[in-house]
Amino acid sequence: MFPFFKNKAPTPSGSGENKDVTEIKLHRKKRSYPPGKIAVNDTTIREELKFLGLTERDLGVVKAWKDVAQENMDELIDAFYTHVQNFPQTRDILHKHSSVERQRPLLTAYVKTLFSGVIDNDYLEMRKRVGIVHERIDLSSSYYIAMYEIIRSVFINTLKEICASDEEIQDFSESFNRLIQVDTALTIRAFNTARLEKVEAGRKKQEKMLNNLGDEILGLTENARHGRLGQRIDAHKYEPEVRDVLLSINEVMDVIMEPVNEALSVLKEMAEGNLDVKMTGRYEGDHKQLQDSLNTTIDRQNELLQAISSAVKQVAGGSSQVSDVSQSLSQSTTQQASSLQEITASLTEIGGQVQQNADNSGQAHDLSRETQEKGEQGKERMARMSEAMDEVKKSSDQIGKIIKVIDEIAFQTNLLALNAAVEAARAGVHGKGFAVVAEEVRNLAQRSARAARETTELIEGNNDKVNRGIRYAGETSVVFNEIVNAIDKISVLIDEISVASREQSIGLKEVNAGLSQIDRATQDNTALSEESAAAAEELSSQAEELRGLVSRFKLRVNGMGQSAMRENETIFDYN
Amino acid sequence: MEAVDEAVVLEPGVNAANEGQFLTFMIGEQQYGVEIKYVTEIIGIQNITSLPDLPHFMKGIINLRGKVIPVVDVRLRFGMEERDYDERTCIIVVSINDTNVGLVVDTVAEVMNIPEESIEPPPKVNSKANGNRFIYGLGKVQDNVQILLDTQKLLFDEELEQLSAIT
Repeated sequence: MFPFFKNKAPTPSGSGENKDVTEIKLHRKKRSYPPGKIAVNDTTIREELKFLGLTERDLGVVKAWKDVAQENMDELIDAFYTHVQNFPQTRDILHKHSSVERQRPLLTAYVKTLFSGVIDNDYLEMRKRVGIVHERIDLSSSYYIAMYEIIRSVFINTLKEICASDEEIQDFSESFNRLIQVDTALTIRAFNTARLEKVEAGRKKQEKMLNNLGDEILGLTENARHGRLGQRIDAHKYEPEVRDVLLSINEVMDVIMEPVNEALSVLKEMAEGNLDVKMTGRYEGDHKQLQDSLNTTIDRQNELLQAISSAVKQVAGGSSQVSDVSQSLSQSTTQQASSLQEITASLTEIGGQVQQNADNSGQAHDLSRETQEKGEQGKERMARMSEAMDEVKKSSDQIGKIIKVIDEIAFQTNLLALNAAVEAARAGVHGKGFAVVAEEVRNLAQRSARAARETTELIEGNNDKVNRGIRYAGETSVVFNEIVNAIDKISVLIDEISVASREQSIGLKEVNAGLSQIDRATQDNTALSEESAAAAEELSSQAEELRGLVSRFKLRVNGMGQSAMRENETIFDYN
Repeated sequence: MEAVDEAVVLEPGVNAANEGQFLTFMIGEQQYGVEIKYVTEIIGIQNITSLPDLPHFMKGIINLRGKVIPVVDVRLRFGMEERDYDERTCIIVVSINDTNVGLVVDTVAEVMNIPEESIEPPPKVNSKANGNRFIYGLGKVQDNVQILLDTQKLLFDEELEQLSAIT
């Protein structure tokens, strides 16, 4: 069954003899079996031992081989540990909880008790302890069975080697089997008892845990029902498993309460009139809706109150202006009344002047007619004068032609006289008298030429003067034309002045009527402006009251437009 | 005019051979004189018939009572600027070596006595040019100077020959 047994060298017996095995068997006496003893107080166990067929004789049979067992103890223990080490599961358990070196003495002591021949309370206690330990380290019961089987097999082999008789081996095998069964049963019983106690303890612990959990949740629910939402579970007094759950519940409460608390503090500020607040936390879902709704409400209130502030300011300013205007209106109407009297007096004067204008313009009209006629006459006379000048010029031209003829004659006469002089000179002494005559003729011719030349010059001067006269007459004629035209325009203007004077007369009457109405209106205005001033005062005091009401609120400055900000600043400073 | 009036007063007893007597005429503002012994007559400007191939100062010929007389423009002869003829323009007919020539002048002035002692020779300047060759002398009459012309030289010989050839 166990391979290492086959290779085992025959172990010398306890007596150390080196004789042939058969010879030993023949020469040995059969071992006598000492009495065993079952000294167990517990009747239940005693009955069980009886039930399993273990007798005190069996204990004696096993004890008879005690010496052999002690001699081969190391061999027995080695065989077992070799076996244990060959299987990974058993080896891991052994190395996890202990070691071969530490277990070896314990196992040795244990095996020795099997050969003690006595089952007493200590024996039972030892089995019980082993069972409890094995339960703790979760060692399978097959471990015992294997251990007992190895010890039995090795030991029977040993008996064969020391040449025990078949009868002796048979006896030992039967007794040892029964002892092993008892041992196994005892250990397993202890194992099971320990396991059961452990399970029961776990169950009780769980039950207690659930009860505590329930109690805490019920308490929390009760607190919540009464609005004590700040209450939390003291999770740290519980085991880690429950603690995590309770901490999660606490966290749920925190998460629920955080926006509620912020909203609460914001609302408290608002209640004290501070509208410069908002929920600033980062929330999601329903909490986001709560935040948005509250912030929107605050925004609306800010806008509303700022609008009211602005309106109040305007009303205050407006009422102040109305008051001022009413006062100045009152003064103005007084001035207006006195001015009206002056205007009435002036209008009477103007009426007289307008009438005078109308008369004067009539006279001017007549005068302009006469002037126009005279201008026409002047024009006509100038035309006649121009004609006369033209005739003078024609006469001068004719005179000029005549003078030219005279000049020509004078030239020819001069030539004749010169020829005569030449002739006389050539005649010498005989021509002397003739030369004198020729000279006289020549003188006369030259005087004629000179006179003609002077006349021509005079006529040319005349012509220049006549031409100038004609030009002046033409210019004068143009001037007369302009005079006549201007007088035409003057006549038209004078007519218009006459018409305007009449219209002014009519207009003045209407103005007088209008002035009467203005006078009545001025009196009405005086009364109305006083009423207006009183009303403006009233409005001003009410605006002041409203301003006081609005100034209790602290409004938001950030996020507003510049103009709104200025309004906000000034609104509480005006007055 | 005053000066002329006084100048033309003929003094009695002046040589009968009409020595010292000049007919004066005007070219521009200057008065010139020719010896009266060469003067045949004075006429107004006539219709002048121009002939081909004549010196530029020869204006042409006139018909004077059936006689053909060549006409010299004195302005052109003196190298002066030509001027249009008018009703005062005269032709002085002179007779040189039995040849009659008409001298066209701006106008005639008078017959004047200039004594020998009042006549000075022409100035000796500008010898290269023959500008002075026509001048016989400068006659001083009161403040004025009469340029007295040498009628013989007024025309060159060859020119005179041409004139003879014409007539």
